[in-house]
Amino acid sequence: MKLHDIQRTIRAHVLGPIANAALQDAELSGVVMDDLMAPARRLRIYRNHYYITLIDALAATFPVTRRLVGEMFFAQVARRFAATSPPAGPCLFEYGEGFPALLEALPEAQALPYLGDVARLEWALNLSRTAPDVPPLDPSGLGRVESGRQADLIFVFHPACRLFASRFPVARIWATNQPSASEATIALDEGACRLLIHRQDGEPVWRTLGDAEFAFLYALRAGRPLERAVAAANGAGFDLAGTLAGLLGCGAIADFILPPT
Amino acid sequence: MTDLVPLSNGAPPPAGIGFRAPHEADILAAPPSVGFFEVHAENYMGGGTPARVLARLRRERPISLHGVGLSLGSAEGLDPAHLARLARLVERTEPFLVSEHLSWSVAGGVYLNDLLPLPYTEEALAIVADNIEAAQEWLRRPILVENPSAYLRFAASTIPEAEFLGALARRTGCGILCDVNNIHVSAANLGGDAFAYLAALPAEAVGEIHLAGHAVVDADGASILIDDHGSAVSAEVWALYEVAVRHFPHAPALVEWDSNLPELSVLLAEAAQADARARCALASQKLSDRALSDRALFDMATHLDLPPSARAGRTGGRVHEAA
Repeated sequence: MKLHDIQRTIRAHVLGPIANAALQDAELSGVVMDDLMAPARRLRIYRNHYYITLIDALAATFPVTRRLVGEMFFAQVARRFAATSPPAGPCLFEYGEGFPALLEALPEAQALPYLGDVARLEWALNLSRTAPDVPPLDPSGLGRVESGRQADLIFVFHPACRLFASRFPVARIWATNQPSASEATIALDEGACRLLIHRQDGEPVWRTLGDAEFAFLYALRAGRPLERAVAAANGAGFDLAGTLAGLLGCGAIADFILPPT
Repeated sequence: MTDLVPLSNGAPPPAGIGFRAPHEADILAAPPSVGFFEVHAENYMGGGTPARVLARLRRERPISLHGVGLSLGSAEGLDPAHLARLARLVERTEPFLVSEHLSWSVAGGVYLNDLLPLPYTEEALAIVADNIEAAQEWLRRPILVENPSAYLRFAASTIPEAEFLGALARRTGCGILCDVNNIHVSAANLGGDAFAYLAALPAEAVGEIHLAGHAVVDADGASILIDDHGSAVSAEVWALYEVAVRHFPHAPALVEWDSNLPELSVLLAEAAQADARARCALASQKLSDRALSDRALFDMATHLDLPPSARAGRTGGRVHEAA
């Protein structure tokens, strides 16, 4: 048997559904030595390691989600995720992108309509926390752009900067479920939540955004020129200068592009 | 590298410790006088806090980068994207050692998050050697390759593991990371003589020694050793270490501890114990060498045949499985 085929066989026994042990032993017979202990029993050590370590990795990335659903249920869902969405690479801080969608689709979780959004916020925080280190834009460069061309500016956001929106008060739910937080009652209809997540001293933090600010930033982050992003904000009282100063001040912008005329 | 742990008067190089995030505050507040810190490369491939912490550690002590995800044993070759990230980390960190494992984790583009065992065949030897050469070309430096802890053997294997590692070192110029706990765990789980394994490694290729604890687990009535890095180094592994130090006197030792992580002081005490045991092992070796040469002089003087020399004088953590 070639190495390639041996690795496909072992992969199937580490990942795949638990077969009858006798059947598994038969499949591994002639591949794995069966002295002292049966092959299926030996494979179980690797299989358990795979599932336990990935459940732990997801628990580290989604601690609030885990607290909301309880340790046992979380482990069950995480195990299902590990079975159907194995990691594509060895950096486990990048593992779990599809986990919020899986949670949201669970029939058991329909009583917690905000659960998927809480997990999505945790994923956004994780992306911000681990994003590559890139220097923020030095605002003095912007001052050299001719005033007639400022409307055409396209901003490149810092990789640690993310926008987040939910129709539930997810930021309050998250904060109330921190280990040090005191109990609070949150009404699910108390309002939507729109956040600008960025990194401060290496850790993700957020600022709450108004509707107009969010629409502006959403368009800007999608690569719309400044003038069109302002149009998207479409609001009386939208403070462009203040919003831009805030963005630059928190290092949310990495660069700008001025397309040729 | 210029900051490689210095050797003085034939004393063993000072032991290092595996750096783990919960010890960060203690270590940065008062850097302990260990020989070096070893970190898992994959934990530092993003930005933010871990990257900053590694840069701080780097200013205090030499760094050893220990990879767990390169999958040197994959028949489908290495992932160039991962290799590129490792190369950038190596460039940024300037570690004095870079190491990986004699194992595989990737099949069909899926990462199985474990150090899975290889069949020791000529075909596997050629594949692993190609992969090591590719890694060393990308990184522009030799790497150390660690013997794994194993829970199964393949029927196809024809080459003893120590010989397989020796052949890799000869073919690729890589070094060997000798994990004495893994040797003990594999020998207990699969049968084999741990001391003979040590003697079979090419001494000149061994560039580091790993020490860790393991768990003894009952698996349906059979006892199995699990390499969980979750306890103090066992007496059997210390005994093996004392022999390893005599075989590989220039290889720095590292104490790894992953699960049930204790206070930093416990880890430092293990590293101090490794240093003390290495000094004793090397000192007693000098005495026995001299005793041997005295004996040889006596034998020559009395026209007796020389006695066969006693050659001994010269020469990551797994989780517990659910029941």
